[in-house]
Amino acid sequence: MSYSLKYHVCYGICKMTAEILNFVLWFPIVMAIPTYLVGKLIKTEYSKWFAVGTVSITTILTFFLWIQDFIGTSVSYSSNGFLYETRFDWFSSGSLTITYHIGVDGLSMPLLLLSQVVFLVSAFSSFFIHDQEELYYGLYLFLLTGLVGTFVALDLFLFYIFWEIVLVPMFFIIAIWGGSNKYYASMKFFIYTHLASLVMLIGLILMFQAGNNTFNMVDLKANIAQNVAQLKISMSTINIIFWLVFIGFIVKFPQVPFHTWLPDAHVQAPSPGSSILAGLLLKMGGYGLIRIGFWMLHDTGYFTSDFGINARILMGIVAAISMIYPAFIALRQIDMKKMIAYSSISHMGIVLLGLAAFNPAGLNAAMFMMVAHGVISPGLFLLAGIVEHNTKSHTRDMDRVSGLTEKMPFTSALFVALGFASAGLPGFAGFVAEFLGFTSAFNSPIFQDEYIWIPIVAVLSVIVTAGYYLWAMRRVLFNKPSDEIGNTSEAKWWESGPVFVLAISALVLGLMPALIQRVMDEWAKLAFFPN
Amino acid sequence: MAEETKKLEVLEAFLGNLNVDTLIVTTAWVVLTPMLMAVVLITMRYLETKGYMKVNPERSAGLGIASIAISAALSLTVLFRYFNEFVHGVQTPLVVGSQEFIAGTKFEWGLLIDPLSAIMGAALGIIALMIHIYAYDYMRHGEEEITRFFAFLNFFTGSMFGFIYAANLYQSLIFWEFLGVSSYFLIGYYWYKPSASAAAMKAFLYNKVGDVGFLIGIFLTYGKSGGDVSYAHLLELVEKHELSPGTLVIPALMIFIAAVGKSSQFPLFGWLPEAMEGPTPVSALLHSSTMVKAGLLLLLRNFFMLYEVEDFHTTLPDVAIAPATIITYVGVLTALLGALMALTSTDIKRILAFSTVSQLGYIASAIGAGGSSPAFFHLLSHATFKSLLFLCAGAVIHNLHHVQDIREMGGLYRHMPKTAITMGIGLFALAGFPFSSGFVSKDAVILTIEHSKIPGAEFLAWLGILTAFITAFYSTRMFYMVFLGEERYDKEKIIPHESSNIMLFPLIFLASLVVIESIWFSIGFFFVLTGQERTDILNFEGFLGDMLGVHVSTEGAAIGAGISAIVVLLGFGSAMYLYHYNPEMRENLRSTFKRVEDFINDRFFVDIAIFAFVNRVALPIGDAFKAFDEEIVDGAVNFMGKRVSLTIADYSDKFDHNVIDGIVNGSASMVKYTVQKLRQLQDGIVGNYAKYMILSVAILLLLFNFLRLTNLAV
Repeated sequence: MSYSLKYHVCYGICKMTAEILNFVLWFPIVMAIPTYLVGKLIKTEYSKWFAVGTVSITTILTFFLWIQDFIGTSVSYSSNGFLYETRFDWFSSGSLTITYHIGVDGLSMPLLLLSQVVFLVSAFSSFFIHDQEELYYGLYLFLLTGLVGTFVALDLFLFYIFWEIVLVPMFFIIAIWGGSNKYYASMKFFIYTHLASLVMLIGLILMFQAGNNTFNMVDLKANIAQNVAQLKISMSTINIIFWLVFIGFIVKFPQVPFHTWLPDAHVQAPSPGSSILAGLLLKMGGYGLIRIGFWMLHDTGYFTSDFGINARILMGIVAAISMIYPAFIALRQIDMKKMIAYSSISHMGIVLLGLAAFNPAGLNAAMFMMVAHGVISPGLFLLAGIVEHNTKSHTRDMDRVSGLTEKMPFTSALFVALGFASAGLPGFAGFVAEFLGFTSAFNSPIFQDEYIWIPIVAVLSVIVTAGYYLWAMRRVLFNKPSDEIGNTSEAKWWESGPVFVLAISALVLGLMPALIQRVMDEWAKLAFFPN
Repeated sequence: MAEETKKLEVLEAFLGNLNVDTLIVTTAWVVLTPMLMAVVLITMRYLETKGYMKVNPERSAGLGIASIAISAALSLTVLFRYFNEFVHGVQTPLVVGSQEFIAGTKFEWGLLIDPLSAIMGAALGIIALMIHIYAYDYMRHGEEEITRFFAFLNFFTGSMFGFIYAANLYQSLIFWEFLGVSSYFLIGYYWYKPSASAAAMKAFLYNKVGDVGFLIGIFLTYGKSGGDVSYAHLLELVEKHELSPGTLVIPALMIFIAAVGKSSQFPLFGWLPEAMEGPTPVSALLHSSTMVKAGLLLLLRNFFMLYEVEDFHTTLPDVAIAPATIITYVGVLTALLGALMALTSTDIKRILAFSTVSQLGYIASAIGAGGSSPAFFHLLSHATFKSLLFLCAGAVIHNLHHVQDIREMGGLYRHMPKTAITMGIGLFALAGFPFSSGFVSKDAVILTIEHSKIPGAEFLAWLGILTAFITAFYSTRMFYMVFLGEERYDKEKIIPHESSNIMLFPLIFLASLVVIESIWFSIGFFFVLTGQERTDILNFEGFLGDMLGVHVSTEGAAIGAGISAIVVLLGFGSAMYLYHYNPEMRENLRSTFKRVEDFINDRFFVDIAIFAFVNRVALPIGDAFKAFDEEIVDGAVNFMGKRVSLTIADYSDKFDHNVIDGIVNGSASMVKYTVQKLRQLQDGIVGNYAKYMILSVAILLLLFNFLRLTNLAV
C-alpha cells in the first residue's frame, strides 16, 4: 500500500465516526442471532467466542473513537453540543415527529467506554456458564445494544425504547441462570423497574407536550427553555416533570427507599449479571437523571429557582440517607454479594449528592463516580462469584469462608485492592469521586447552616464503609483457612483476569483521573456553568 | 535572635529556574524510588506464587534496601542543596512543583520543600535505611514471604516521604491514607494469626476516624481559600491577612482530630500497642519517623491554623476556646496516660509503644503551646532514640525466641552487652537523663508549655514534669528487668547470644547518632543556659526556630533544667531502689495500688468504651436498619406486590366474573332463548317460509324508509 492510499484509507475511517457509532450500537444485536444459532446448530462453545469477538470489536472501535476525539485538549463538539451525530426523521405524521438521533458527548462517552469494558470482562467471567450457553450469549449481546442505546439516544422515544429493552434480557439472565430465589428476584426486578419507567414515561410525555410536540432531546431542550422564558409554561409544570423523571430514575439508581429490588436482583443474578447490573444498569439511572433531569431542564433556570432549590435539598437528604443507611445494613450482612449490593447503593449516593450540590465539582463527582463505581463494583461482584464457584459447598457466606489468602493469594490480593478501592482509598478511582463529591457538598451554598448535617452524615459513612470492607476482608481472607476452602487452588485466568483488568482500571483512573475526568469537567462547565 | 522578619517566597518549579527544577526532580525520586520498588517487589512476589520465578530472599531484601538507600541519599542531597542554595539567613523560600491531578480543579500532585520537609525527609531517609538493613537480618530466618514484607516496607517508607514533601492538603491526605493502608498490611503481615488481622483492622479503623476529620478539614479550608488548598497559597493568604487562625477554628480542630487518630492521642491511642502484632522492624519504623509522626507533622505544617505568627512570636487567636488550647490539654493528658500505661505494662514492645504514646503527647502539647520549633526538635530526637529502642527490643526478642514479657527476661547484659549498651543509650535519651538528647528536647517542650498563654499553663508544665518522672522510672525499670538482675528465662531452651553483625550495625549506628545528638544538643543547651542567643546550627533549637519562623522564650531554662534533672534522677533512683534494693516494698506498693494498676492496664476504659460503642451502638444500628429494610421497606414492596395487587386482581376477577361476564353471559343466554324461539319457526312448510320472507322484506323496507326519514342513512 502506498503512502497516499494508506493515508486515504486512514483518513476515510477517521471521518466515518458517526458510522462507527451506529455500528457499535447495532452490531451486538445483529450478532445476537448468529451467536445463538452457531451455538445451537454447530457447537455450543462457539457462541461464547462469538460473543467475546463481537464485544471485542465494539470495544476496540469505542476506544478508537475515544482516542480520536476525547483525548488531549478540549473536545470540539458540533453546534448541538454532540459528536458523531446521526439524525433523520424516523416516523413522521402530522404534528408528531420521532427522530432517529444518536450522538455522544462528555457525559455519555465515558459511560459508553465503561459499558464496553465491563461487557468485555464480564463475557470472560461468564465462561462458567454451560447451561443453555448459546441463549445466554445471545441475550448478552442483546443487552449490550440496549445499554449502549440508552447512552447514545438523543430522542426521548428512542431512549425509552432502549431503556425498556434492557429489562428483557436482564430479566431472563436472572430468571434462567440465577440463584435459588431467582424467580422472585427477576419478577421483582422487572416489575419494580418497569413501574418506575412508567412514572418516567408520564414525565417524558409531559415534557413532549411542554416542548412543542417533539421527542428530539436537543430541540426539546431549546423549546422548553423558550416556552418558560415566554411564560407559556409555568415553573411548577417543570417541577412536576422533574419529579416524575426523578422518581423514574431514582429507582434505577437506586436510592433509599426505592432500593430493595437491588439486593435481591444482584444476589440472585449470576456473577457476570451482577457485575453488569452494578456496573451499568445503575448508571442508566444516573445518566438519565443527568441527561433528562438536569441537562434538559437546566436552561429553564429550574435548578436555581425556589422549586429547584427545594428539590436539590430533598435530593441531598435522600443522598445522605442513602449513603449511611445501606452502609449500616452492609455491616450486618453475611452474604458477600449482598454486602457489595448494599455498598453499591451507598456509593451511588455520591452521584446524587454531587448533583444536589450542583456546582462544577459536584457534577464532576457525579459523573466520575459512575465510572469509578462502574469499574470497582463489577470487580467485587466477580470476586464474590469466584469465591462462590471455588468453595466446597458453593457458598458466599462470610462466616463460613476464611483464610482464602492461603489458597488463592492472587484473588485475595485483588479482593484487598478492590475492597480498599470501594472503601475510598486514595490511588483508586472511588476516592477521587468521593472527594469531589464531599468537596462540592460542603461548599454548596444550599448545604450550609441548618443543612450542614447532610454533608457531615455523608462523610461519616466513610467510616462505616471502611468498617464493613475491612471486616469482610478479615473474615474471608485472613486467619486460618476454614473447611470451605478445602483444597481449592488459584482461580482460573478467565476468573481472575477480568477482575485484574478492572482493578488496574480503578488504579489508573485513581492516579490519573484526568484521563477521563477532563472530558467530564469540560462538558459540565459547558453545559451547566458556562461562565 | 534574628532581627529581620520572615517573608514568604514561593519558588515554583518548571519556570526555567534550573536549580528549582532539579531540586524538585530529585525530591520526586525520593518519593518514587521506594514506591516503584514496591511495585517491582510485589510483581516478583506474584510471579513467585505463580511459580514463574524463584525469588532469592536476599535479592528481594537487597532491592528493598537499595531503593531506600537511594532515597536516603537523595533526601540528604535535597537537604544540603536546599540549605546551601535557597536558604539565606532566615529567608526560607518554599520550593514548589506541581502537576495536574483532577482536571478543572486546584487539586494537584505537588512537592514542597521547606526546612520542615527537608529536615524531616533526611531524618526519615537515614532511620528508614537502618531499619531496612536490620529488617533483612531479622526477617530472613524462617520467613518465606520476605519479598512481600520488603514490598510493603518500601511502600510504607515511600508514603511517608510523599507525606513529608506534600505540597497541599489534598496530597497530604492521599499519602496519609497510603500510610494507613501500608501499616494495615504490615501490622497484618502474619495474616493467618487472628490477633494480627484484628490489630490491623483496628489500626486502620481508628485511623479512619481521624481521616474523616482530615477530610472535613480540607473541605472547609477549600471553601475559605477559594478552592486552592496548597500550603503555599494558604500561607500567602495568611500573610495577606485574608485568612487567620480565628477564621480557621473548625478546620484546625478537624485537622487535630486527624492527628489524634494517626498520632494516637487520647482517646484514640488504643491501636498503637496492638500494632505490635507486626514484625519488630515495622514497629521501629512506625513509631520513630513514619505513621505516628505524620499527625504531628500535619499539625506543624498547618501551624498557621493555630497561631498568628508575627516576627517569630505567636499569639493565640481571639476565640472562645482556641484549638491550640485543646491540643495542649489533650497532649499533656496523653503524655501522662501513656507514661502510666508504660509503667504497668510487662511486654517489652508494649512498654515502648506506650512510651511512644507518651512522647507523642509531649510533642502535641508543645505544638498546642505555640512552640513549633521545640515540638519539631523533640520529634527529631524522639525519632532517633525510639527507632534505636525498638531495634534493640527486636534483637532481644529475636534472641529469646519471641518471648516479649520482661518478667521472663533478666540478666541479659552478660550475654548481649552490645545490645544492652545501645539500648541503655536509647533509654537514657527516653528517660531524659541529664545532657542526653531527650533531656534537652523534652526540657524545651516543658519550658514552652510553661511560657505559653494557654490557661493553666503552669499546671500543665508540672504535669509534664510528673510525666518525666514516670518516664525515668519505667525506663529504668525496663532496663533493669531486661538486662540486669536474675535470669528468669527458660534456660533449657534459650541460650541468649549477641545478634549478628548485620543486626548490630544499625543499633550501633543509631546509638552513635543518639550520642552525637546528645553532645550537639547539649552544646546548644549550654548556649541557652549562658544566655547566648545563638541561632546557628550549633544551637539546634534556635536554628529550628529560625527555620520554622517561631522562637520561644528560653527564660528560666536553667531552673527548668534543674527541676527536670532532679526529677529524672529521682525517677531513676526510686526505680533502682524498688527493683534492685527493696523488691518487697515494690510488691507491697503493688498490692496496695492493685486497683489503680488494673485500671491502668484496662487503658482507662477508653478502648472498652470504644468497643462498647461499636458493639452496643454501631452494630445494633446495623441490625435495626437491616430489620427495617427487610421488614418495612422491602415489606412494603412485597405487600404492594403480593397483597395489594393480588387483592385488586381478586376484585377485578370478581367484577369481571359477576358484572362484565354476567352481562356477556346474560346476553348470550338471551340470544340462546331467542334462537330457541326462532328455531320453532323452521317448520318445513314452504308457505310459512314465503310468509316470513315477505314479512322480513316489508320490515326491512320500513326500516330503510324510517332511516331515510330521519336522515340517518343515505
